[in-house]
Amino acid sequence: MAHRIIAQLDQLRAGRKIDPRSEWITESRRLLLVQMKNTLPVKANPPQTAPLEQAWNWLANFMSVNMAERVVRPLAVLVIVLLVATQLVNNVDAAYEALPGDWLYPAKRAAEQTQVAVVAMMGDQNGETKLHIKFAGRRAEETKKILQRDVTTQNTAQAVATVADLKVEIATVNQKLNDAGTSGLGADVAKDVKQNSEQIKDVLQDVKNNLSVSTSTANSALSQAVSETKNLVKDVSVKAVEVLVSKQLAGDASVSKEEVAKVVATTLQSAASDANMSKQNVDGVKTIIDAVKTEVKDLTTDFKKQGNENLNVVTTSKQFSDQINVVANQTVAAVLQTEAVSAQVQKSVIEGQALLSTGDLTKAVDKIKEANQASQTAEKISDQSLQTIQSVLPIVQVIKDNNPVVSPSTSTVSGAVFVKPVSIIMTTGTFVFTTTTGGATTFKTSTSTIAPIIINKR
Amino acid sequence: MSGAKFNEKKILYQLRTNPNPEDFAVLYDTYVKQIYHFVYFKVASSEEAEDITSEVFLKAWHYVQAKKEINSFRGLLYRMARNAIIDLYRARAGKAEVMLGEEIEMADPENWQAAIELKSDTEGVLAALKKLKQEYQEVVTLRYIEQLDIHEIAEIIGKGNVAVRVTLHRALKKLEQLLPKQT
Repeated sequence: MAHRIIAQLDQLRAGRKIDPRSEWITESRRLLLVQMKNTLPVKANPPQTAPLEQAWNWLANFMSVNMAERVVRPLAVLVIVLLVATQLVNNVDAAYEALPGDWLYPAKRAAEQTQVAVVAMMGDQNGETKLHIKFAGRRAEETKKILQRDVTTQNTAQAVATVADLKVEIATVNQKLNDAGTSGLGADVAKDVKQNSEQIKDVLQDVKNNLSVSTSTANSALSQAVSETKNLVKDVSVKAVEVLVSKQLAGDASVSKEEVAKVVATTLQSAASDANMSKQNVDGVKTIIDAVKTEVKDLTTDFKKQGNENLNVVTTSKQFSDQINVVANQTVAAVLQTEAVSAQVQKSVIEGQALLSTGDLTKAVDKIKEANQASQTAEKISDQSLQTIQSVLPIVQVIKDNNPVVSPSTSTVSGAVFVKPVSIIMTTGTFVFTTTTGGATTFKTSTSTIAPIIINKR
Repeated sequence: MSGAKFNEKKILYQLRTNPNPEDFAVLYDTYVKQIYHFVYFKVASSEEAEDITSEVFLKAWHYVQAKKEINSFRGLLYRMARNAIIDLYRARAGKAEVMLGEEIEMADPENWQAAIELKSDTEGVLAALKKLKQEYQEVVTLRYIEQLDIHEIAEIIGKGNVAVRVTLHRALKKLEQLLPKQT
């Protein structure tokens, strides 16, 4: 009987006697489309979803919630982390190249944490310290690469977070070096830290140079964070030399006295170079300020000669001229300060070298510390000078924009010079002040080996 | 996963990321008849079945737009249809029409069978099906008209697989009683 009923139900289905009317299907479809369109919001720019999230949404769409959230996702993360951590697969290189915001970046960081956890579990202080300095290097490179992308709030925020992570890694390394006496940290690790910290320092200097181009407040804060971190790196570098010396004196055979002496000499020279660079930067700032000061003065005079009736323009340029004078005075003070600090560094370096020649490594390290501290002071003055000039130069453009009389196409000196001098690039070479008429005023810095400044129109 | 299922999932993903009524219309074309059938057996007229079916699809559109989790779109439509019918019954509570979860009173089974016998086999089974109580109607319709798997039916009506099998067995027994015996 049941078979008969099932057969009848089958007939009922096949017979289409229970199907809806085709006209209704069409009309209902049309009506539904209208109703659906009415519910759609006005299109705005959709929020950007991270590529990882997009990929995950796509995959999760094809699985049940339980399967996706409780099984597949944790499993996928675990697999990636293990692959990256154990370096079993060649194509995981992509993960090492990942930057904050990339979909593989969380896997990269998780893999790093796994590596540290495994080494720490085994009680390997040497391995752990090496990993921390290695990861600090990665953070520095990441910061540099992030800032080479487009300038966006998101990129700046990622750079800030990466610098914060770098700071943590450096602080950990510093702690490991402080505990070197009791933890049995090897001289080879100190050498590794020294080498890596020098590289990190250079990368952070590049980052600072890139940031000096920007005038945004966010980048100014980032620049400050980078400077602080760079100082920490310098401290770690000096600390590594100290550990190296103490290990050598304690009879660690993995490092020779000559090798240590060479490292001490290099570090002394490095502190001298850093201080010298800071001094040159401040000198460069003074050169710019002097040039701008002259041009602003000429502009004010030109306005008056042209019989410009716009008193506001004249007044504004006069006010700016006064402001430039203040900055110029500050810069003169900064130049004097850096000269004094630089001399102090040179003195410490010469004394350190003398101690080195007598074989007194411990006291030579003390001189490195002195030189390092003074060098950091010089860099701080240099940073402040650069910030000051950054705050003044954009005002030039404001004056120009508010000046309807002097056309940028005219060949008058005042019209030509007042372009958009908003970018300052620290580089080696010459200081060029570009004009809207295509000409350029070139200033040679006192020596060609140090960092001059280029101001370009936007 | 079959090609059709994959395509359905793809459409749902597109609807979540970039809602387009034309994409949703593809899903409407796929399921409109199935949902209509399901509703048809539980309501008094084809007009009511049409109204409820339209309502179900509009609700499903809102559900998708709200980006809520969807394991099975077909299952979602059936559940929505079921709820819409329950709402309809509740609205009619007190009136002398079909009562939710209650078997039709058959004061005179002899006359019943006589009435069904007058119709053809398919019309007879359709009439008998309409006389079944809600629970039996659902499982028979879903299993033999829409040809869903037991686990799919279980998901729609919120019961276990075994309970569905038992209900189905009892429903067929009941249907058997309602249909005239073949000589």
